[in-house]
Amino acid sequence: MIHDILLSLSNPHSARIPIEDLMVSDAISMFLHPCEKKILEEILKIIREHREIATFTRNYGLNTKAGSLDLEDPLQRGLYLQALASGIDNVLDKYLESIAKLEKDYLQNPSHSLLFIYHKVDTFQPLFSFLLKVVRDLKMQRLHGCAILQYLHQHMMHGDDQINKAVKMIQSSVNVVFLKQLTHWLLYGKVLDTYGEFFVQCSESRNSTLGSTSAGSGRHTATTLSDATSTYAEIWHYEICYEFLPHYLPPSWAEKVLFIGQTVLMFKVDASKKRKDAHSWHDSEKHNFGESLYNEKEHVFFKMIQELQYDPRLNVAHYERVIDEIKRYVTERLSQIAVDQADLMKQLKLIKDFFLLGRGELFLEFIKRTHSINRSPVTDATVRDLVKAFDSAAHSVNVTEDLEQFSFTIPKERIDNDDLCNFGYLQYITLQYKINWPLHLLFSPKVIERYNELFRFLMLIKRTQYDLHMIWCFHRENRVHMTNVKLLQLRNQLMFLVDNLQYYILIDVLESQYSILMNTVLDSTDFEHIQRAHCIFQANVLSLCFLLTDEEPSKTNVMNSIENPVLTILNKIFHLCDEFCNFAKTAHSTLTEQENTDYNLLEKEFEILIDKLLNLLIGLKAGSTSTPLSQFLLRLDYNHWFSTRKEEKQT
Amino acid sequence: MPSEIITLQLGQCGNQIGFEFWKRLCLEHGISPTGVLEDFATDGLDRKDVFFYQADDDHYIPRAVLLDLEPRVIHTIMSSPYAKLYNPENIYLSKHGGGAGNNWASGYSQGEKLHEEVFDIIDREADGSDSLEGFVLCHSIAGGTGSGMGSYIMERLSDRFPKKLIETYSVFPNQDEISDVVVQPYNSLLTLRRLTSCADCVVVLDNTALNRIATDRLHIQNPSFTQINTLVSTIMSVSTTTLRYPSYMNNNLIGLTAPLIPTPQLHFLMTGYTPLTTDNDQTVNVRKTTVLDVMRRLLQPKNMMVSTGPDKTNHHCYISILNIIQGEVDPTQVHKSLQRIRERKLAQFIPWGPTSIQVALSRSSPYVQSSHRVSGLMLANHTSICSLFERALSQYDKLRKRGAFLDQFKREDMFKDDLTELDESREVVDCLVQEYEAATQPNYLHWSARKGET
Repeated sequence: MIHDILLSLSNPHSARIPIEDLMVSDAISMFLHPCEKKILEEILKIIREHREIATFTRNYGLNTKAGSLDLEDPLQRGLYLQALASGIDNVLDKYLESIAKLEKDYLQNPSHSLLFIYHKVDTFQPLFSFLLKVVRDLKMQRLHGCAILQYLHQHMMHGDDQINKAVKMIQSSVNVVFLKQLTHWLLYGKVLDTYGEFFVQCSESRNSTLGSTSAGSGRHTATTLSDATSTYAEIWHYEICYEFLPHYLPPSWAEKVLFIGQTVLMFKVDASKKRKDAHSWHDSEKHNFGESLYNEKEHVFFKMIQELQYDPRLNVAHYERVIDEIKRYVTERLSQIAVDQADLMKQLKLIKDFFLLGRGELFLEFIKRTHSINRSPVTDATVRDLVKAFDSAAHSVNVTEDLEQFSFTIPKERIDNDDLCNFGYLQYITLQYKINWPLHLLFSPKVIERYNELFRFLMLIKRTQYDLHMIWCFHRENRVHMTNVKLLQLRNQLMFLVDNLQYYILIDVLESQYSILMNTVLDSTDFEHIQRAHCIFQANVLSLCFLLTDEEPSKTNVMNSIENPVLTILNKIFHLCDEFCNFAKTAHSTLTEQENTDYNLLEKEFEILIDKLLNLLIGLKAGSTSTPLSQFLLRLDYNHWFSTRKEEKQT
Repeated sequence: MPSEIITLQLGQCGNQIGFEFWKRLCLEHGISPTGVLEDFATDGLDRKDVFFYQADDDHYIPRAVLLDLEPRVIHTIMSSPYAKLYNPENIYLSKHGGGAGNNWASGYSQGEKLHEEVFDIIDREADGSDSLEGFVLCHSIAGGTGSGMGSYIMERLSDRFPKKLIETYSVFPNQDEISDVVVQPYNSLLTLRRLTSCADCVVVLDNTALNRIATDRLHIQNPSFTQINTLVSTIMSVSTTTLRYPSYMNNNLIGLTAPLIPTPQLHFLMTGYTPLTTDNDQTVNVRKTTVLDVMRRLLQPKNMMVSTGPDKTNHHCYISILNIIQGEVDPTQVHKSLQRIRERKLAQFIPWGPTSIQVALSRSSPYVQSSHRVSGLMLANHTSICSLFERALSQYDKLRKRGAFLDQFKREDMFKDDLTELDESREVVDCLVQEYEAATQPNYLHWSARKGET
């Protein structure tokens, strides 16, 4: 009987526990003292617990095949789970050892009582109940991937020394997987992640994983980038998946990890590209920068990451130190390359010249050439005309060389998506920018899209200004002088407003912010500083151009329904300018009665709008954070004309 | 190339300042006196095509037409190193070469006689440009050719090219010295009439002020024409700098002038420039020039190229201001300067409409070394410019009362029968003065509306 018990203790996988039958039958009373029965029950309990744990490790452990099990509600498979299982196995080894020792003891001294077994086995009971809790929690919460790390970390500080040691053991076993993935990501830009467990995820593959989770079948989602289709867009598919990020690691840390990985990735994509056209680089440079970001220093960093594994206390500071070190190396190297090879300064200037209309004459020429297709609905034919007009405008002002990196398009989806056609083609135009390697980290698709928003806004101002200038010419030609002072006055006011809006944006906003950006770029050797400065630049420009709404800084669109109140008014003013231009072109030299009423309506509307605008600006100015807006106000109301008139009206 | 501008140089003065202007443009664009692009200037960040076109052999030729009735100045130009720069077909000298004898009427009637030949040149030049934007006319209003022939050509230009802008750089005579041209007041008045009615924008270059600046500020005892003309060419080149270099705005002549000229009659602009120094000025710069310094100095009368005389009633005001600032400018300073100027009330503005100081930051030529960190040009529409016209009127009246020197005019067809032309011109200029005075008042718009009805 004792042997039966020992056997049951050590073998968790038999179909039944033979000793259990004994409990059911009456025979037990023949062998055991009634008080021993209780002990046997206790031992049985331990056996059952052990069995449950062992079943778990067998199901999810290292040596099992995915299809071999037929469980009712299987957990999602994963490396972390596997590591956990094998970690638990390791812990159980000690238990099995002690059972073996027990058996030996019995062989030597068969007269040991049941109590002796109980005494030995009982020491494992807290451990078992702890492990059981782990297993059950895991099943209940359906923990997956890095979340397991998080769970373990929560239970790491256990008062019981035995359990504490066990957790450490399991933890280190799981950590191996984590660090391995981390190393691959950091050094090679690869996510070796068959089961979607790492906290850096390729967003596309993640979606498919999540989809397949519900279907209940694990799917192969590993992304090997060697066969990446050499599109840089790939880089931006990688995102941090915060639910997988263990809480003890701060999000900033994860962002750094993501950044390093993306950088490495970019280098890899480029390296594979460059093999195709190696002539664009000098050979020496190719070996210096192109082929490897780390300059064959991988082993140093590899060792550093390895050391993390031997740190039993999961020292977060240590993690951060390592990542910081790698990051510093990467960013400095990157900025060196960005400035030396990609000619960062020139690229930034190009951005300013084109997206921010630094080459005013080009866009003026473009507007001039497209004046006739101004308001007509955008069709395929007009798109073609526009692109052609842009090219010929560029050609005529001799900017073809700089323009190599830009292409002017009107994406079809933009036209299809947008149903309001207020500003004609101007709300669709988009500049595409061919990014110089390795500046892809600076100009993500989102960033470029925001630049395009700015571009459209600035173009709108420029066109309105052009229209008003045309009216000025029209008046000049037709000698609309004294007869129509009212018309001139409204024209002047509109022109004044648009001009000053432009001066404000160009000098107070763009030039000022750009000089700040340039100073930072010149001063820093760290690519991340540059990146941050660039982000700040763009955010500032957007907000100072009223393109950002306070409530929703992430979602912006010039034509959005939730707009910045200033922008709403400005848009209305642009419309008013449109109407005025149409009106002025057709108006008789002395206004007819109908025209007079029309004119009065326009003037009235303008007054209302400008009042609103001034109120808003004054209101915004009063707010503490928005002092730059006072700059616009200063320009608008420089000779106190608008404000005086407002006061007059009020009294 | 879009927005081309054709320069017409008329008479002795016009050709001289034109010559200096082209010299300066060549220097700024890195074009050699023979029109060949210098090796150091091939990066091409500028827009040469506005003022130049390229011949088949790629050398640059100014879009300039040189006209004179007497050969002296043009001969000087043609014997200078820059002789090969110009298109020889664009140089027109009247065959008899006798000049206009400082007589407006003679210049005008000769212009009439020669207009076919002259307009052949202008038409050809206009056809040669993609989208001509306008004409720039350099002349003086006091002499014979620049004023008389200039007047005639202006009239014809606005008939023939109604859609093109006409900007003039008009040199006003020096009031401080006694002119050898006795009929100067007649000439000035007659030209002023055309400047009022035919030109879109007149940049007034007052010789009185230019000489004063040369003596007082540059410490030149007897300023030569060349020294004065250097000042003028600086003004001309800086005022076109936004057209010649890529910039956010003011990329064409309309964009530049339209905001400055809110009502069509008030189109006489003053200019101011700082810092004013000469090449041999060795005074050590003791301070760092800021944007505020530049903008403040530009508002001081002593830096203005127009001498307006003291404004006793202190009622004159700015209709509009455009500052073109070049050099190492911290753009964030612009706003602070604007604020400071407003706080200290350094400039008075019209009470009948919105206006402000517009500041354009412009690139300057990389090929011209300047010892100044920041420099600025102001183009201003200021009502006190009417004092210049008042002065012209009073001088005219003095001469007219005596009926002096009228026989010189009566010799020409235009004045053979009567002198109504003179009277009408006086009327026009008087009106202009009144309008400028009215523009200082808040009810200017009513005033002009009333005037429009009558």
